Amino acid sequence: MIYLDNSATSFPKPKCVIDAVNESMMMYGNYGRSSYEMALKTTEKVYNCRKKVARFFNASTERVIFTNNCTMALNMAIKGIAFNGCHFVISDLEHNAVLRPLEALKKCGICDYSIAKVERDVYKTIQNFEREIKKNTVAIICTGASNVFGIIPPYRYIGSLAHRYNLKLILDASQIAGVRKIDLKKDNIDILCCAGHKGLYGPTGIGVFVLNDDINLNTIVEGGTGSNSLSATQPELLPDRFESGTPNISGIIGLSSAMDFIEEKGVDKIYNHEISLIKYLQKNIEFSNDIIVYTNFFDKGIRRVPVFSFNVVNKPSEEVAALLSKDSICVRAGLHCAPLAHKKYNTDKIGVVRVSPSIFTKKIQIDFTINSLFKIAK
Amino acid sequence: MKRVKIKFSSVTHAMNAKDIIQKNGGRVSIGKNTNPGMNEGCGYFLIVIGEAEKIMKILKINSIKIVGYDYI
Repeated sequence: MIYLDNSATSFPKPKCVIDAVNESMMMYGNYGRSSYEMALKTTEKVYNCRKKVARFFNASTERVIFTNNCTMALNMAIKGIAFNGCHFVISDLEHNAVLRPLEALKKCGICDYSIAKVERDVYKTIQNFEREIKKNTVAIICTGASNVFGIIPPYRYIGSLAHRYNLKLILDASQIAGVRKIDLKKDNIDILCCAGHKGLYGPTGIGVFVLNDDINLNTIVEGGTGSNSLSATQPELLPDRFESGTPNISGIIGLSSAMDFIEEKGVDKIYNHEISLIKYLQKNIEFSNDIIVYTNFFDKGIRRVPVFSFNVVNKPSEEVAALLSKDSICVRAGLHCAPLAHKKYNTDKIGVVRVSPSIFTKKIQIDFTINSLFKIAK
Repeated sequence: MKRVKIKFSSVTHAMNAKDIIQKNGGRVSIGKNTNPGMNEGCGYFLIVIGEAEKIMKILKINSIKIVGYDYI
């Protein structure tokens, strides 16, 4: 099997992650609730992961909150910061994980939102965002990188703009974490939401919600935290405030090993490996009149993560993915839960075929994919 | 040397404090109160060998929130 759907979920997982998850099932129990040895060991494991995630994004350990996935983290951020009559500005590349919570709030009459266009020109992009800011705007939500076209919006400058207007920047880091360095402080990010199972190589069912500072956020889930149990009120202290119920301990322990794996490989090395494969793929198929490439990785004017999108002329993207699948090549086609990005590129009716490699992808697998594509495009 | 019992609101803060105290050369162990009171947070505590004032200063510099401490 040739797996090129790492933007959805990275596969295979590093052996150290598989071993850690297996070990967690055999050796670790609940955390933060009890004093017996296994509970304390589990607590230490969870804490160690929190520490690694904090270091990775340059945040404080207690401001790293574990969630089920990035969608949950984004819901926590959006619904936690929203108040009656507020307004958000989002980019035109956002995933449904951003769009749908906002639409739900809008339907309830709680908030409204505007969409700002991301352009080639950084200055124009910032102007577009600034134009959409209103008196009641509370935050700008921006993806770290488009999950369809790989475009990296200038989020550091967008964060700077947000802060000038006393707004918060919420970053959806799902596609960028693990391939580009992210520093909450340098990048002006107030809330970072990220999946653990994509570029971070962790198991599914684990995500992180990282706060840069003490931000006044409402909770969307309340319950047992193992702290202040006699009080009926949710604790104020982080991370407890946002971590009700038993977390995904195996997921956290797996993510902890995954963080070690990334640290050992190096984010730049992972990025360079994947980009070189994408460029190789593009170079070999872009000359074809039967293939439409949407992501030009040789254009130095646009920063991208290694997500490559294309279509075969006169063939629906889903059909191309199904045909590739017959050759055991795994890609994602369709709309990728990102209708805004597809509308921007006029691909909302047809979708695109998306190729996303990982550190484990080999050049020979890309060769095989190229051959298979030319068979399909004939 | 005296033994200080430091109580925390959150186990994450207790683990954080443990880390910091160890980095500062302190000997520390973690435990849990058998019957934590209303205001005793998560019930987790650290037993540290040393002077409470010095330890509190280190924790304060590192923004670690504690519920309280006692010599034991």
